[in-house]
Amino acid sequence: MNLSTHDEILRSTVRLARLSFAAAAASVCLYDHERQALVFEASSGPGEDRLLGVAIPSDSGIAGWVANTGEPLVVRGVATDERFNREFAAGTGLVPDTILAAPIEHQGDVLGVLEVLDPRLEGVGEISAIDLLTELANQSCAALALLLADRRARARRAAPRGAVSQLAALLDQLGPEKEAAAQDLVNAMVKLLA
Amino acid sequence: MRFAHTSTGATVPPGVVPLPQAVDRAWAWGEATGRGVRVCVIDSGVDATHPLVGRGVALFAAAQAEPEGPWSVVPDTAGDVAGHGTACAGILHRVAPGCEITSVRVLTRNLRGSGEAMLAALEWAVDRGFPLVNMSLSTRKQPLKERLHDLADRAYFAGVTLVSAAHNSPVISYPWRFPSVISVGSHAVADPEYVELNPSPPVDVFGPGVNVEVPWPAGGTKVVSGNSFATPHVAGLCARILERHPRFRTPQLRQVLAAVADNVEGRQVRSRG
Repeated sequence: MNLSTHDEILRSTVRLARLSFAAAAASVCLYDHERQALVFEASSGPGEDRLLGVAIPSDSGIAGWVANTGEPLVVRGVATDERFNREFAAGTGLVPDTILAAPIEHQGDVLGVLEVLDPRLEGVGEISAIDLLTELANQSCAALALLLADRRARARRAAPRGAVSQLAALLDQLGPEKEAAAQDLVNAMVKLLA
Repeated sequence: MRFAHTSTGATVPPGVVPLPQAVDRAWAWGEATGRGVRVCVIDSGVDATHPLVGRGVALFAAAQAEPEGPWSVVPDTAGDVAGHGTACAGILHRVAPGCEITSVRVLTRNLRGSGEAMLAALEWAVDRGFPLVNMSLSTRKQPLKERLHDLADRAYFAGVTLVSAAHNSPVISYPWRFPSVISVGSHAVADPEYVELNPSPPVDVFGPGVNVEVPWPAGGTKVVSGNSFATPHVAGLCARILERHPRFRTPQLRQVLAAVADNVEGRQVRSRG
């Protein structure tokens, strides 16, 4: 799977989230371990291009709460929160009144947050809305897990002196005459890692 | 020879248990406001300057002196970094305006540490003997489960009642799944004292958790939904019960909440908001 496919999956996720709730906007931010921040990876709605790559602290705001606790959340009346407006409107120009947010989790670890801004909740109800967004987040999670695994693989390849890369390079050099020895190595590793 | 865990013939003062009598709301809490009952709120911090959380909220935070060092709880000045804790403190203050709130902030920039921060905060609260701890958060991290389970048991035996929010999604997380805590889910009735007993555990009771108006940092209010916000409603009622019955512990509080629940069959509907 190449990078453009990953991006397309993320874009599809935010478009689907936005359409599902007839919302003003939707976005995905992923946790960046090195920066210890949530970084916007995809967005649908006003200012969507300006938001990409923007990093926000992972211990603050509604997204920070969701990322820390893994709990989905609905908050209405955000438009009156001046602190929030300044930070968010600077990136998008959009001042939402309602935020619906759900964690993107993989095997108990939060990878990021899926947010919907100004969802139409009439006739849906908060609890059903949380359920729906959580399922959308779960659906995109498998793709995101692949994205992160791919990034880790890229990082390893970018560091040719890393032990994993050295091992991979050595194994790449093996010819068919080493088949039996390679099998012994595999068996030993399976035993070691079991 | 003497077995362990055998009776010593000790007697039980009547204030320790709800004895056979009419357990109604007038008996359970009456006009009590939770006066003098200490409640620890483990959350995102509290904006102690907000008029709707009351006066004198003590602020602490779980922190590491060094990046890989042990967690401890230290005085804090950051207030509320996310809004959630202020909302919970505001609900507590609304339901039990006499209770004394202590906040421990546990949100972290490094998400890997968030579970450890929660454990450190809970251990601190148990060691200090808070009769009530409001935990509107949980963790899904399996490696933390056993330690959290032991800590919840320790709290139970120490007379520290954990009032813990069930996860908003149908997943297993902790500590709300443990029988040693009072676990809380949501109903949509707009009455802060409307409580339902759940006939299908593990969630014990339901409190108001849909479209709840709450204080938010920087002075305003928001309308929020989630089990997080049902939990301080129940914790607030527990604080009021503890003002009247200060020797009650987790099992007695659970029993009283069950006894006064609004959804017991045959009971006159008190309020539907």
